Amino acid sequence: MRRFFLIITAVLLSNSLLQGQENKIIFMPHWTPQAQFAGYYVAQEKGFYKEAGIDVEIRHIGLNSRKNSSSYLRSGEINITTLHLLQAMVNKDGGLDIVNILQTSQNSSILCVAHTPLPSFKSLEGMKVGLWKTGFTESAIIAADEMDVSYEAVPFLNGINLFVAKAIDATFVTSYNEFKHLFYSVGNVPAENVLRFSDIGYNYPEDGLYTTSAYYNTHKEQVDKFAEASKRGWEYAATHPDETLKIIEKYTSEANIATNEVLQREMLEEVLRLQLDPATGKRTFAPVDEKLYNTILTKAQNAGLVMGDIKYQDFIKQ
Amino acid sequence: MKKSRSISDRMSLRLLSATMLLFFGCTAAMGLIARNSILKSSYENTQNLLEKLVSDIEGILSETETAAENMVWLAKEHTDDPDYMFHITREFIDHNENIIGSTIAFEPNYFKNKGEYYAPYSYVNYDTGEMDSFQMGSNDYDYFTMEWYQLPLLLKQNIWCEPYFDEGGGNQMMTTYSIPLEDNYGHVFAVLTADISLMNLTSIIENIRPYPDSYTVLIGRSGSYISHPDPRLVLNQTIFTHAKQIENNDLYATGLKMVNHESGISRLKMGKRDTYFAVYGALTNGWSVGLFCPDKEILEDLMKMSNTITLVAIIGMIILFLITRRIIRRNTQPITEFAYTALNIAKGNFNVDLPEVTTNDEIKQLHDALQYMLTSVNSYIHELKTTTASKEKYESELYIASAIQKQMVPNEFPAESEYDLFATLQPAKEVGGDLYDFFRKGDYLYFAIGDVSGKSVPAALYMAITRAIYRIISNLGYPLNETMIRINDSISRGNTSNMFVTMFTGRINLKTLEMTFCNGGHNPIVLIDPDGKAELLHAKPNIAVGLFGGFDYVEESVQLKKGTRLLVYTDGVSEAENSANEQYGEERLLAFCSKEPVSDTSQVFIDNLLKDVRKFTADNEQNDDITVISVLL
Repeated sequence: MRRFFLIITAVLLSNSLLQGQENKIIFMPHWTPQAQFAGYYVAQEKGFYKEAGIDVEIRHIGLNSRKNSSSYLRSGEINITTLHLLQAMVNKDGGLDIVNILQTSQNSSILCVAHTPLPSFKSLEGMKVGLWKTGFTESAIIAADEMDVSYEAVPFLNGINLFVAKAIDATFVTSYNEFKHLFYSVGNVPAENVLRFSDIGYNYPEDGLYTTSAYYNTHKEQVDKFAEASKRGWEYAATHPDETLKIIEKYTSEANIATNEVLQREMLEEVLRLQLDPATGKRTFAPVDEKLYNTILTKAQNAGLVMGDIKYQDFIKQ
Repeated sequence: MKKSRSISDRMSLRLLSATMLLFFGCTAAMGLIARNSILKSSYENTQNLLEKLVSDIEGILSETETAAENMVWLAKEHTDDPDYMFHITREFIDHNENIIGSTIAFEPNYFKNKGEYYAPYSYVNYDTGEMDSFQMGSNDYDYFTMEWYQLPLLLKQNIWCEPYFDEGGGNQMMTTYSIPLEDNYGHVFAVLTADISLMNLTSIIENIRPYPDSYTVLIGRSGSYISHPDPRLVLNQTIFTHAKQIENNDLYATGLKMVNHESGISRLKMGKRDTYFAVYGALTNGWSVGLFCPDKEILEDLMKMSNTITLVAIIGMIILFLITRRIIRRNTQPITEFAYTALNIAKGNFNVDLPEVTTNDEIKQLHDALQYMLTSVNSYIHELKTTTASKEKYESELYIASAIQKQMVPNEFPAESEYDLFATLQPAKEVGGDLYDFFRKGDYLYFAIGDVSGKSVPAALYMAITRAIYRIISNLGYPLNETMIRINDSISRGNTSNMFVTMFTGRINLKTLEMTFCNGGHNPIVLIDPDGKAELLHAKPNIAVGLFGGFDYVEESVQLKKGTRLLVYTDGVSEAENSANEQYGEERLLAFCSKEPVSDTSQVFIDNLLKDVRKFTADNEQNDDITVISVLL
């Protein structure tokens, strides 16, 4: 009799553990804590994930590490990450079978800033240009290919110090992060020294949520819940900026990130702006338009970033 | 009602206001000069302090720079022995107590047997105090994209990196000095670094406090705070984000100058009221130091002194006010007394004693003038009293005379069946020279009208005499011309005043209606027949009564009809003037008589005539006695 009860207890316990494991999601944004990921922090802190019935753990990458969030996804250490659309396509082409489960950004944040005026992308010819070692500049590679511009790429890890020290002639920056840093480090950059990708025909959507196809196929319900609760988190962040900044501060402090409220507030405002549909001006979280997707894919293929074909239906699962 | 102030109060206040204005103006100017002088001196002191601080920091940094540069040849010398690099870094740290970590990081795959990453690193273990070494390059520590590696590589020059907080190294702020190692061809093959703690440096900076509330900041090339009294800002904020957070444009502008490696002085407004000045200077490694000093503390002594001066000045002003008021009061006391005296005089008390004046100035002149005025006024009042008494007496007598004169002419008009008679006498003054009389004797109605030359009392006396003589003589039953001769003789006798009377006398036989009359120089009377036709009755000319005796007066007669009206008047009627000096005249008189209903009683007729005359003269004063008799047969 005692053995029977023991067996029953063991079965129930393992079931419940298994159930818990099933609903546990490990999420890793593709960068260190900052307002760029505010919606996910808010969803976690306000209990939106819990209310959706999922147990989410948020992890972050190590700043000095060469290992990015895609690597963690590939190794199965995490379940969901954020990536730029083009970055995700390159990853998918490279063998990491991932799918897009939510598109948050609807606009390009990429800018090129130089010490001299940049009337066009061609002005970068022959310059030493800083770009992130972790990617994000696929659209710059496409532009360079299409306009036949060659510059010396200087991969950097973080920040604007190479540019400020004038070790490089120009650098790629995001409008919400490094560009703000630049403003608060050397003052206003002359407008003629700034080139916005959104102004030169490369206004490609960026941040989105990604998971592996395998995880998506086995955990569709949890993934959808995560995406929905994340949307809720972003909506809340848009309407409660002050509270959101306090939540962001908690995450940046825990990770010992050297930042401040001014920069995070401006970053939040800009990230929220980038989420607005360029046509309607509304926050829709709409999946990437298929036509635009195919255009981007073709350009990526032409630039040699993507070798194979990535079907829209196989990639966009939103 | 506005409260009146004494001259002393007003003058004292004005004097005080002017003095205060002058004093505070001078004090403010002096204060401004002193303030600028103190600030200038403070700027100079702080600048000297800053120069020394910059020199101290440069000294600390150059120690490390020299030590690191001395290692370069050694590293280059042993590029054939990668493991020897550990020895070099250890020796380097061993011989330089400021240096707590060092690496010689090589370009990717520089040593074929060492793989992509090769960066022998030695450091002082913060916990044990021992030196540890390891090869730090790996996938998890990709030094090729680290600033300390990239900057010297790209710039091909020695460089100080932006400070960072080292959690593993004892939770302290560190910075790295990097030197690119070049081969004989000028290619950089490795970067040699020296890590130093910034604890010493920041403690030196924190101790620089020329004033209790002043502070010093050190910022990096990108404006990040490397040292700031608020530790929360260090490395987390740039001077610009800080300026934005506290909404301070002055701080932002100062930050711009600092990151642009300028030296100088800025003035800043901090908070709502405090003003600071910042003295800043650049370090050779691209960092910048700024000393922020509050004006409040620098100017504290000046403010204290200024407050004391203000307090003393206020007390002094109050004392000055009291003294001035007392002096002015003493000097203007006679004026106050004169004011009371003048008020008494104004109230009618002219026997007041004037205040005594011992000085010989304007007050004395005022006293003398007032004394003269008082004497004159008293004299005038005395005269006035006398004159007024005389006048009152005269007027009283004149009033009595007027009453008597009115009684001299008949005031009762007996109702008679044969005629309707009414008469009036309105003197221009209290008494006049006109007269009239009538009486009935048997079947005869006697009447007379006269106008004495001149006016007022002499004329009145003459009128009284004439009227008395007429009444006496006409009663004797003489013919009218005889009566006039006798009256004339009586009056002209002894007439030294050369006065005379124009006189018209008449006698109507009430049975036959024949009227006998004699006109002694008087106006022609008006006859209005029962149809209303009016005309003047021109008589034979006789002289006025009283001019000289012995004149032979002539009488005439006229037959009247029943219903005829006689209008007898003096020249007060026909010569009544309006404001344009036009006379009423005989034409207007005849026109009135023709227009007036014949049925009017004599009283109504006279009333209406006088109204017509008054209407003509309007506001013009009556200038002659008016006498009218109306007899309606």
